[in-house]
Amino acid sequence: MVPTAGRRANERGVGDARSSTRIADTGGCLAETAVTESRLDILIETKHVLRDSLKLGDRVHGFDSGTPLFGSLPELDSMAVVTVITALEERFDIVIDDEEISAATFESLGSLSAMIARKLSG
Amino acid sequence: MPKPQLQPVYLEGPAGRLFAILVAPAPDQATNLGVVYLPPFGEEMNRSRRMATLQARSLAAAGVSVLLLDLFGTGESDGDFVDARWEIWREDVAVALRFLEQRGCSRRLLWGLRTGALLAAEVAADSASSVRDLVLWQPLPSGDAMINNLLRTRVAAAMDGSEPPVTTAALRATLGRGESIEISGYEVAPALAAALGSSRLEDCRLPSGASVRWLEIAAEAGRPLAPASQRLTAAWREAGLTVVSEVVAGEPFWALQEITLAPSLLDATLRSIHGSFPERARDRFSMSGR
Repeated sequence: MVPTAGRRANERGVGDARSSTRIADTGGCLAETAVTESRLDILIETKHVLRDSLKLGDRVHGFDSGTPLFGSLPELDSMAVVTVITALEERFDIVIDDEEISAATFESLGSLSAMIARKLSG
Repeated sequence: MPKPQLQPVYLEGPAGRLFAILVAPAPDQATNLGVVYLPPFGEEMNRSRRMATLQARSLAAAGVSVLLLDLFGTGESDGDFVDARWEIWREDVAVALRFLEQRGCSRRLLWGLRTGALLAAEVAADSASSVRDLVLWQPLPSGDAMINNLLRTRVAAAMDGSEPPVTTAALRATLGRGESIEISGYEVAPALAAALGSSRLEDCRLPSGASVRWLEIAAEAGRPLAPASQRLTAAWREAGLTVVSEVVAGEPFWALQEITLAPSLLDATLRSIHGSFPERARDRFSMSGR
């Protein structure tokens, strides 16, 4: 089950420094909740896309930002990578570039959702 | 009830001999409806073969004759993939339709998956085909969407460092220079890529009175159609066609390595062929008398 109260430490990913900066700009605990929850939402949504595109089923419940993807999930062959990319583009309304179709981006759930978060905030 | 039989069939296509599997109803179960299945592109065809066969069996058990066609240059048909051309494929479909007509299928519909759906729509838009009814599985709005998909598959294939990285722009440039490119073991000729790339569902002027059953899979049944699908189905309705769309729960089986089934899609398709052409219900289930 995904924790609803608080977040596990290892679900903080790259970009929390940036979210702190945004908190400094806007001020207030409410703003902090809004920014960091959206990062968690991205991770959860990305997990769902992986589950649906790759037919992973209940295994995704145990996924966190450190879960390795490319090279660890046998389902993730080149055709499946493209299915995932297309589904992410549709889900988040973003465009993924060739450079992002890389082992680095797909290294873990954390690196993948961080890429999406960068696109959404950029 | 005896299980529908699978029979190999050999047809003379314009560029070479075609292989197809006829999934025929038992003679006393046969109706006058014949269906030609048009598979998706490249490796997607292999990954969806089991679904196509299961669907064909369930249709045949309901009295429908189904021809699972290997287009020229694919499967067991003659020709290498690099020799395949969109125009040849259109003619292959016409040959398959004539085969069913000669077997006594006085009504014929085309059932296509992904790029097969594009091909089906193009053939139906050609009045010479006499096809008015389509069953489209996960239609792509355009062939260019498939080209992008293919190029990205090649980019993804380099992720493990087994080959130098490549860009979709560089691959397009290679095609532009008249050179074929290799995707997942399939050599794609520039002429095929160009014709596929310029194929668009919105350009297919289906005949008046045409009926389209549009089926997509999503994580859950009842989700809305993809935005492009909504636009296309709306345009066809505006043109006076009967379009029934449905989103069923399932995985993208055409893209998954592990053979994956979408039972909801099988059920919905069988139901649609039973029920979505109600204006011809009597005609559809009349005994063929042959």
